[in-house]
Amino acid sequence: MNLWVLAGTSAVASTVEFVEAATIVLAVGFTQGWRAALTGTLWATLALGVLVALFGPLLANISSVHRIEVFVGPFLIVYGIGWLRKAVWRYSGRKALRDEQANYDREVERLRADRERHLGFATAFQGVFIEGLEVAVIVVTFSATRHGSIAWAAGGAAVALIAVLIAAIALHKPFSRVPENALKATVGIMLLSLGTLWAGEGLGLTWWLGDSTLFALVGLYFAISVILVALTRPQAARA
Amino acid sequence: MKALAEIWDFITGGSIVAPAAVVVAVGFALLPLGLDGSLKAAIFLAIVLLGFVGSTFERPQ
Repeated sequence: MNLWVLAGTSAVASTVEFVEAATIVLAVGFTQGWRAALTGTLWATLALGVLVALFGPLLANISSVHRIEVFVGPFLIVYGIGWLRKAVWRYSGRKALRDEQANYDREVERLRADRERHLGFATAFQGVFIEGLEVAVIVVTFSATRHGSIAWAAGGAAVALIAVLIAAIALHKPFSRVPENALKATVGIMLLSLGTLWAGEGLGLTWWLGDSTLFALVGLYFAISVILVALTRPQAARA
Repeated sequence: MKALAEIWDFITGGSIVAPAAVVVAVGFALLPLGLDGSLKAAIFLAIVLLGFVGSTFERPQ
């Protein structure tokens, strides 16, 4: 394989993984605070660095990633369901929107938010860790096809990382203007979709569209959420 | 709708940990079955959907 083609393929493949990681970090940042999101990212990067330094060559065995997915997937499913159902409750009027809540509710929310910050850290950590690991697998696997090409494969991944970072920083402002409940619903759908995909892959299931199943899952969960908002709306509100 | 919510609360104890545990348990239970991988994926997705839909019928906390 031509070295430029190898670097380009590595960049494209890595972009998908970096976008998934950035989605999770942005989601945690906007909803649980940037401290949880960035410390989770930092610790995941450090853990990943140590892992790659110690076991780099073994990463060519993709099954190791699938074993991790089986633990991360269910976690994302639980977290995604938690956020998405809250958004559904708020849209259907079964739960007051955040800025309309009474003092008691705010206090309960504050205590719950404290717990969620820890979950936010864990989500950012796991998202960055597993996606970073997949990038490491891509780099190691691609470089194995041609002796001495690891710098090209790693270079492609680095270019992808820089491009995704720039995009994430550019999207930071527009995202912050989106209403909180819409953001929580979007994040819930993304986490639930990723969690379903990863848990299934980890369990050795065959997704019909491969990695593109993610888009189908996003559409499915969105459609079901819309239906649930209509179905769970209290009768008084429907009349 | 109210009856559905009460049944769900009774089964899960008002927690999403129980349905999540069911998702994982069903996923692992599917592994040794001699079913097609796509069919297993469909069953797994159905269980996740059931967990999500069911949990939205809980009483908001």
